[in-house]
Amino acid sequence: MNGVQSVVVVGNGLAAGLAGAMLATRLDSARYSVTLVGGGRDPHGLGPVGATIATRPGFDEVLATIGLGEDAVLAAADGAFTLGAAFSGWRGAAHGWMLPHGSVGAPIGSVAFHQIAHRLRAEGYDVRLADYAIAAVAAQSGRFGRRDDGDRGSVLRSLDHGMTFDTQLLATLLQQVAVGAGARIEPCEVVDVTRDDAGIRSLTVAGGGSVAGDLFIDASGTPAMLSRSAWQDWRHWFPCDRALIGSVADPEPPLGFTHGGATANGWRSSVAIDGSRGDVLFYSSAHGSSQAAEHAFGLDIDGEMHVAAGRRECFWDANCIAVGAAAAAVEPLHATELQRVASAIERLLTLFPTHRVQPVLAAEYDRRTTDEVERVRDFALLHYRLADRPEPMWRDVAQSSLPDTVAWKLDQFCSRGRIALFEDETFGQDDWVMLMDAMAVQARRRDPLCDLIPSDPLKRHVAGLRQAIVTAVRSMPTHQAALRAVKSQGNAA
Amino acid sequence: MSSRIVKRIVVVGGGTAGWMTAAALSAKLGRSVSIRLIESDAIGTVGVGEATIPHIRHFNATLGIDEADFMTRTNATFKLGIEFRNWGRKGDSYIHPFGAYGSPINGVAFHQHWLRLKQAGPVAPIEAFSVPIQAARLDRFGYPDPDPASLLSTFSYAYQFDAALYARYLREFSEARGVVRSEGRVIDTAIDSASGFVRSVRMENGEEVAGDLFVDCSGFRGLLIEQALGSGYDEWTRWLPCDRAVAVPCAAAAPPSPYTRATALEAGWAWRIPLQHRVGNGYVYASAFMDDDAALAALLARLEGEPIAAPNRLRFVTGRRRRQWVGNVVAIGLSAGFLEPLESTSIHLIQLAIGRLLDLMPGSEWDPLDAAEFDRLMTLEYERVRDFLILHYCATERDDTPFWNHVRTMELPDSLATRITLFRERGAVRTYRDGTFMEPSWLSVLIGQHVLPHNVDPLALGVDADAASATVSQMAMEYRRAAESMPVHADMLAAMRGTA
Repeated sequence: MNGVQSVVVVGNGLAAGLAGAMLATRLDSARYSVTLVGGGRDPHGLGPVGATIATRPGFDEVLATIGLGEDAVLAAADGAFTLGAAFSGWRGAAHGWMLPHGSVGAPIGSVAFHQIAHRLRAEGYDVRLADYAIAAVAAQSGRFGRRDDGDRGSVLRSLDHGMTFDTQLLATLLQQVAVGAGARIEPCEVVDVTRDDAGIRSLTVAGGGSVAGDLFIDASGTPAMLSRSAWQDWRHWFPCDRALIGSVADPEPPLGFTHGGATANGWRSSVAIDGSRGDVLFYSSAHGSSQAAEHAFGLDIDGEMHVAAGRRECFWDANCIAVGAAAAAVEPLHATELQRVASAIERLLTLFPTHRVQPVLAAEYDRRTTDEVERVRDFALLHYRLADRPEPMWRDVAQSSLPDTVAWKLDQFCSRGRIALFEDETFGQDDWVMLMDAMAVQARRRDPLCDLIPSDPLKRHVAGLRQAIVTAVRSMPTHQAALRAVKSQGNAA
Repeated sequence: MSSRIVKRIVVVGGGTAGWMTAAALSAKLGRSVSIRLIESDAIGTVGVGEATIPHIRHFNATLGIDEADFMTRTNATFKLGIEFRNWGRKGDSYIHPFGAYGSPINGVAFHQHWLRLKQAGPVAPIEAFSVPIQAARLDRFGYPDPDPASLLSTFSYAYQFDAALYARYLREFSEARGVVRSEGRVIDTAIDSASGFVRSVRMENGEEVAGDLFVDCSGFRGLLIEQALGSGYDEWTRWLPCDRAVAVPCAAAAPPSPYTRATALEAGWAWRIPLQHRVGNGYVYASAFMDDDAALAALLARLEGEPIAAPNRLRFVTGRRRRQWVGNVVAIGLSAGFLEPLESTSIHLIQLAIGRLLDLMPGSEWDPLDAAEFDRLMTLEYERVRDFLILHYCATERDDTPFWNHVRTMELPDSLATRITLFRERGAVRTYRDGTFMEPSWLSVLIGQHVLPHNVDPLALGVDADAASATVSQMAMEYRRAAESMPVHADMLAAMRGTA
C-alpha cells in the first residue's frame, strides 16, 4: 500500500515553523515522521514580513492547539497586544480610520447598529462608528483590556484582541515546539526536487543528502520551491510589486494597533512590538523608482522582496500542499498571514490522506481554501479599489473590474446597508461595515425596521452604549502596564 | 431620504404558511403596517398533522408564545428525531436525531473513532452514542440542560402537532395584533403595466384589495407568483419521483412516542406522526410506480387504530419556483416550491422565508436587489434540503421493487455526488453557512443507510485501539444512563397539560 508515513515541511521561519509545530503536535509520532527542511529565498514563507508580525483575534486558539499559552508567547517573543488596525491616507492625505477587533456597537433586536447609525446620520447627528467600538476607544486611549464573556450585558463581551511578535523569536519558539513534539530538523537546505508520476518523491539537500517523504508541505513562500500549479495573477487589483523591509528600535510603549499608510504608489505597514517597530513599504515600480522608494522609506533596509499578488490554481497538487505565500499572496493589510497557515493545516488535518495521492480529498481541500483565500482577497481588494487618491497608480486601480463576489457585496450594501456573507468568511459583518463606511460607501436605503424604533429609546440605546464603553475603558490599564503584567506572568510560567 | 416601511401588506392564503407569515410580520412590525390576510374556507389547507425541526422553537420564542399553552392547544407532542425503517435495507431501523453523536477523542471527531472501531470489529451501533436516540427508543423525553458540561446538553427538540390547530392558534395571535382577515376567493389580479407590480387583488364579492407588498401563501398553484407573474418552476422529479400522497389520521394504539416515523414502502414511504389525541398517517408515493387505490389500500392496511377521517389525497410536483420573489410578490410555503415532508422541512422553509423577508423588508423605495438576495439565499436552502432528501433514496441497497431500483440507480446532482464521494473517501462531511442540516444529520443518514468510508481517518489511529474501545464503551453507558434519567414522554405531556 502506498500509505502516508512521513510528512516533509519545506521552508523557513514562521510558516514552516507553525506548520511543523501543528503537524508534529497533532500527528501521532509513532505513526508519522515530520521533517522540517529549510529552503528558498523567502525568510518566513509569508511574502514580505519584517522584523515583526501581527496576528488577528483567534491566534491564541492557534497557540493553544500546539500547547502554548498566549502570555508565555508574548513574553518569549517580545510581543504586544493589538486592538485593531489603523489606516491613513487611503482617501486623500487627511483620511484615517480604524478597524477595531471585536464588534462595533450593539443591535436593537434584529436591527444592526450600522442601520441605527444610518438613521441618526439622516437626522443630522455625526455618528462615528468607531466611537461605539470598545476596542477602538481603548486602542486610541493607549489602554488595553481582554474580552470577558462572564457578564451577559457587559460591553467587554464585544472586545477582542490580536497580538504582535518579533518574527525571529516567534519562529524559533515554533520550531522548538515542533522539535519537542518529535519533528526532525534537516540541517541542510533543499537544492533539488525529485518527482515521479505520483508527485514528489524526495528532496536533495545541499551536500548531496536526500530527504524522502510521502506528503510535502510547501511553506517556502515566494518563489515556491515545490509547487508547480499555475499562478492566478491579481496584480490588476494589487499593483505593488516590490517591498522594502526595515525596522527601528523604539523604547516608547508600543501602540496597541497596527498601521497601514497609503503613499503615492503603494502603502506602508507598521507593526509595533515591545521595544521596536517593523515596517514594510509596498510599492509599484511601474509608478515610481526604487531610489524614490528607498528615500521615502527612511529606515535602514534589512531586505527587499518581489511581490506578486495572486493565488495558486491548485493548492493541493498530487502529494504537495502549498501553504502561506506559496499558496496565495495577499498584502498584509489585516494580518491574516499566520492564521491562514494555521487554517490550512487544520483543514489538512481534517482531510488528512491515507494514500500519497487522493484527488477527492485534494479537490475538497482546494474548494474550501479557495473560498477562504478569495474572501480575504475581497476584503483587501476594496482598500485599493475604493481608495481615492490622485496619483496614477490609484487612478488605474480604481478602474479595475470587480470579482462577482465583491460586486454583489457592494451592490447589497449600497442598496440597503446589507452585508451579504458567503462561505468561509474570515471577516464578519462588522468588519465589512467598518470598511464600507471608511471607504465612504453609503447605503441608499436602510433597514426599514430601524424606523419602527421610537426615537427616545433609540437614542438612549446609543448614548448608553457610549457611556458603558467610556466607563469600561476608564478602568482598563494602559497597554504598557498590561504587557508588563502579562510578561511577569509569562516569564514565571 | 426616507426608509419608511411598506404601508400595506396583503397575505394571499391562510394555512400554516399564511398564518405563520401574518403572525411574524404583525409581531415584528406592529401596527405601523396594515396586514390583511385573505383566505377562503372553501379551499382546503394541506396541513395534515405536521412534524417540525427544532428551529420552530426559535420562531415561537420570537413571538413570545408560551410552550405549554401552544402545545395544549395544538395537541402537540415532543419530538427528538425521525425513525427511518427499511430505507437502506429491508428490516433496517435508524433514527436521525436532533443532536450530536458522542464527543471528540483526542481532538478527532467521534464518528471517525466509531468508524475505525467498526472497521476493526464489533462495536455498539452509533445510536448508542446519542442521548436523543436513546431517549426516543425508550419513549422518554426531558428538556435539554443548558449546562454544556452535561450530556443532556447534547441535543435539541421539536414538536409534532396538528398544523390546522397551529394555524388557528397563530390566527388568534395575529388578529389580536391587528391583522385583518378577509374571507373569500381571490379571482383576479391587477398588475401595474409600468412596474410589473401587483397593485391589487379582486375577491369574488367584488372587493379590490390593494397592497404594497403581497405574500403569496396560496399553495401549490401559486396564484400570484405563478399564475399572475409567471415565475417558472424547476422540477426535481428526476431525483425525487414521488408525486402523490394520501393521508388518514387514526386512533392511537399506544401512548405517543417522542419521534416521527418514516417507513419505506413499495413505491415511496409512509409517515407516522403521533399527536396527543391521534396519530397522523400518510403514504407518499410515485404515481409512475403505484396507482392511487393500491396506495390507499396499503396505507389503510398499516393503520394501528380506527381511521378517524376520510382519506385526504394530495398531488404535487417536487421542485422550486424559479424566482420566489418577483416584483412586489414574495412566495412563502408551497407556492415557493415543494419538497416532500421526509425530513419535516415544510414549516422550516416557511420560517426561513419569513426570516429572509424580514431581513430584506422593503421600505418606501424598492430595489430589485432585495429580491435577488432573497432568491440567492433561498436557492441555497432549497437545494441543500433537496440533496439531503435525495440521499435517503439513493443510499439504498434495495432492488426489490421497480421504484427502489430506479432511485438506487438514478443519476445524482453533482453537489450530492461529491458529498457522498467525499464521505466514502474518508468519512468527511462538507459543511456550509446557509443550509439546514449539519454534520450529525448527514452522518445519521449516511451511516444509517450503510454508506461507509473506504478509509479510516488516519488521525483516529493515533489513539490506541483498546483505549478507544474502552472510552467508547464508557461513553455508551453514560449516554444510556442520561436517557434513562429522563421522564416518560407521556408523563411529561400529562404534566404539561396540568400546567397549561
